[in-house]
Amino acid sequence: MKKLKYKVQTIKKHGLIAFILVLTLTSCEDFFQSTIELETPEAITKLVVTGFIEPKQDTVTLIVEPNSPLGRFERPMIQADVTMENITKGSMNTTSDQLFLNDYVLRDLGDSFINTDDEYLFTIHDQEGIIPSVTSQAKFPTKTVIKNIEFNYEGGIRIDGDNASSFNITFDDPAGEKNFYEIAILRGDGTLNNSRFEFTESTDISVSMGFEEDYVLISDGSFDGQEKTIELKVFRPSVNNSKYTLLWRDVTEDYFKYSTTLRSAYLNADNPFALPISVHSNIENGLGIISLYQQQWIPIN
Amino acid sequence: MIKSTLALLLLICLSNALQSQEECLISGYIINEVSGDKLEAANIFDINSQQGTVSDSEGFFSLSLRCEKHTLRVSFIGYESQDIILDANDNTPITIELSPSVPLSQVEITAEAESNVVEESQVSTVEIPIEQIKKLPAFLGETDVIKALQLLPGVQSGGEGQSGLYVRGGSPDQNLILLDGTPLYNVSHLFGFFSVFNSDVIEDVKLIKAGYPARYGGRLSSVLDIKMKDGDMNKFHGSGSIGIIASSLTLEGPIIKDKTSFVISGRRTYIDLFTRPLSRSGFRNEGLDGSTGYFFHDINAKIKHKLSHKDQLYLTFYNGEDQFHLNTKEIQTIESEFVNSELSWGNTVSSLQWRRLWNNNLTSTFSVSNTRYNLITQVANGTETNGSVDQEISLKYSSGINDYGAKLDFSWLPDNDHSVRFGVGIIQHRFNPGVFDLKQVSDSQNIDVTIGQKQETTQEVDLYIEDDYKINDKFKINAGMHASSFHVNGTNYLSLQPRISGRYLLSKKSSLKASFATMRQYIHLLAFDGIGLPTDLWLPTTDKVKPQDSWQAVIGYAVKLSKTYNLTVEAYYRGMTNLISYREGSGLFELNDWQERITQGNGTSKGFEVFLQKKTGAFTGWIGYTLSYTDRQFDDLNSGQRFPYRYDRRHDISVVASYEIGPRITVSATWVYGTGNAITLANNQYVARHPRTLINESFGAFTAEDALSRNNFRMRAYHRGDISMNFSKQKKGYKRTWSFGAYNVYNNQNPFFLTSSTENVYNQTGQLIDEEFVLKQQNLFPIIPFVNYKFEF
Repeated sequence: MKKLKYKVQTIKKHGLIAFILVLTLTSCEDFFQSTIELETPEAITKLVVTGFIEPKQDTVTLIVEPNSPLGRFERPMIQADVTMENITKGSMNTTSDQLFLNDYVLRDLGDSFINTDDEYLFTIHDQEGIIPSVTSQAKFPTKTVIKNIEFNYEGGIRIDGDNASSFNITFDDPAGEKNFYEIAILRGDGTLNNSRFEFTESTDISVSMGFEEDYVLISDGSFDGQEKTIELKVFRPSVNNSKYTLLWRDVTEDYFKYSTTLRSAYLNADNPFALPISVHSNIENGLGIISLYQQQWIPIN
Repeated sequence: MIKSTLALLLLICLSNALQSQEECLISGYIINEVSGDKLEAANIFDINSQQGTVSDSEGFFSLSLRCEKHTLRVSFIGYESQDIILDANDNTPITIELSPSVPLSQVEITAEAESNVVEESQVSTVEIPIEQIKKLPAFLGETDVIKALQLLPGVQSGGEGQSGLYVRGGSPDQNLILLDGTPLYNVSHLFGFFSVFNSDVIEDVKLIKAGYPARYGGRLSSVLDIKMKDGDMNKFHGSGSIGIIASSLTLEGPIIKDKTSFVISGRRTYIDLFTRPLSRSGFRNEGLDGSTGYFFHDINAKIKHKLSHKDQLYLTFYNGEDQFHLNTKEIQTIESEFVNSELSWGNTVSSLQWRRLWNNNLTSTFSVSNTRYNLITQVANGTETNGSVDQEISLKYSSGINDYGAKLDFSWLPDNDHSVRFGVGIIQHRFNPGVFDLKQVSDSQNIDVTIGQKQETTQEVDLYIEDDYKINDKFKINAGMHASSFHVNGTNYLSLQPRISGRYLLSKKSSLKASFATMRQYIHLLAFDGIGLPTDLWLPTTDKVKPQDSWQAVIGYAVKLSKTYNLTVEAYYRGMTNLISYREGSGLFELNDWQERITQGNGTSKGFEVFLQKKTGAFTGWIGYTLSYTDRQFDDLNSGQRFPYRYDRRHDISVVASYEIGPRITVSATWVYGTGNAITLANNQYVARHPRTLINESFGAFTAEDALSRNNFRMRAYHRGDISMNFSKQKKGYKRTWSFGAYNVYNNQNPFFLTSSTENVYNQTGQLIDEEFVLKQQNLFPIIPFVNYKFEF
């Protein structure tokens, strides 16, 4: 019993000393370091390609550039061979025409090279052979028929509380295929130079925001093959005398994914808790996007 | 295969029912004489025939004996044994009250030795006595059931200080977490640092990692069955604790002696009580009147009522909520602008159970329940003059799930070799996958708009039958079938899930075990792979989003190394299909259809676990080791390539030890080690241009980062040691316990998250010569001491 009492007292004493020691240590600021520097992952060089192509284009421009190690912002030039092949018809066009820095131009394609029904293969080689070659295969999306556009000057409010004008756009969604659309509302005379893209929003659940907020993207997952009316809202000007134009673009699934992931990556860039977002790409062995599209400019009022 | 399994089960039940006609059944309950608590795993042994059985989780037993007089010896470690003479022809259920022979804390620990891991037919099942959990070192002194379970092999926490449960490669939503039989959806407080379970009112904690008995269904990874204790039927008493961040108080006692009892417990943090005045003075310096604060609370309550010696009613209630607020207002005499923001989330569970003993070998439990989880976040901004609001615009986001359920379970003991359970249950789920309410109040207009995801109501029906069958002295199996159906928007899903587990005794001290089970899960948790945020969304299976399925096979070996040491070794393989994840780049606060934001894929997990445990004596504890490989594959993620799961942990070790120096002092220590989590880190960066730049519509470009594959990088290994000492003393009229200890006692810098930045590089003269990319590990918890005071009266 005596032994046990002694044991208990010793433990109490040592326990108290340990507790005071721990408290003392935690009160010293320098005792703790909240960060540790780590080795960064290995850098792997890839080609980054950007292209946006409409039917019947006589000239096609692709931007081809390499990626860079983390923290390096210089934009190195490369010498590349760019090939665009109509794999439906088997015709080919090659270029060595480097327009500006890393802009590559395919010229004099003629009216019959880029057709809505054909499929295309793009191949890009680094002339020095240091960076792995890349390929991309793409085809045009189906063109949509717009049935009606309704404009309402006093269309309610936007989500930020500003007064809104609304546009109800009715169209037939082609059945049995995944369709994706990019829509913008322009205020002005309907030309690119004399019009401005309006900040557009919608509460429809099939609508996603684009990389920039002056257009929206739509996926037909919830209305495949049906007639659909999308309501878009833009800022309402104080006087009802503006001219509006609808820019309707049929885009590919790759474009839709690229735009939405690019937006998310941008928005989450400085969030340490966010899962790193990989921007979608349809470039085999590389990065970026080559997208084929069809578009319509429709005056609204 | 399914038909033949059912036929076999029915044949087994029928043949044994016929055999049992020459015998009589003796049944009843074993309870604690002092508190009236049911005693699970008590031994009931007939001295004449040498036959015996053990009581179930409700303290109920049934023994088939020849129709004559018998002497039953009833024993339970830590209680006085009793010999009872009775006539088996008298088929009235009996209640046997055992009186404790030693202090209660020791009883509850040693009692666990009775459940014999060698002889049980079930695999991968662990029970930790709540008294042992209370002795373990606790983060900030708050005893946490979930964190104790994380110390078991095959169970991971997810991250530093987190109370998530990742069982054998599964995600937290794949755990069926039951509080008195009713599912709980969110078990985290304070962004995952504490669990919602108040240890003061918990009686029993059981975790099943595989070989799930057929009575459980609806989740893929594990079953965590937590039972709240019943109130004392005989006398009033209570307990409480005062800690660094929270305090709790529990009261229990009879409402009508020997007939109705209650237990009620409350816990609340008080960080907000300190931060509120501090924040007020901070805001005042900036010309604002405002405050900020955070708290969480839990309320548990249970009423038990004996309607008759055959009927008992249980009413259980739980409510827990986290609340964060930030309110500011300009200090001006005429017009002032205000901003009020709030984030709150919580669960409410209520259930009513009626347990009836129909005859000596048949009991039933009928229950109705409701469980709810809600998340609300809102921001209101406006102006007011002399206290009256001139204009206000508010945006509120809410999401959640609300279940109403009814269940009827039967337990039938046809003879000493069979224990059959069967039942049916129905749950109506109401999902709210995220709704925004926008309100504007001003002189010119009032607007109230609701936008967002469609609410879904679904019905889930479950049927099951299982038999725990002792085939002979060596073979014992638990075989069963769980059938379920799910109805959503005119679409029906059906599933048959066969389950079997068994053991073969190699000797009295060792056995081989194996199990195979399939599981289906109709509800999904859409979560970010980051810290345990309350923003995770509960979503239903729909016509587009398929239910999750899994199967798991286990083989194991259990051996009693000595009277006090048990060793279990198990190997497992799990396949999972239709798991869900956010599509690349999709987020929470988006208005587009949630079904468009997700993608479904598959996963596998395989591993090997070693568990050496000592449950009795002054020195108790365990050593657990897990070797595991877990991956995922989604067609829409990582270019369709398989990638390691974020919580793929190659090695995981835990050492837990408690030593009772005397009746008043206990010293405990834990040490954990785990391979670092897999995370995605960029290898390169590039200029991601928007294609519209090529047609002069935009200048959109952004420096994006590119990772070679998802989860391509490993954080540094995690290891941590915790210690605690408990000093108890019986005072006049009450007993007090002081607990001292420290979390992360050797101050290891464990990774919480990583950050990256580009930093300038200067030469010795201070000239800028270069830039370099720097990756840094951010640590969260250094050594954190704690002190806690507990009292019981």
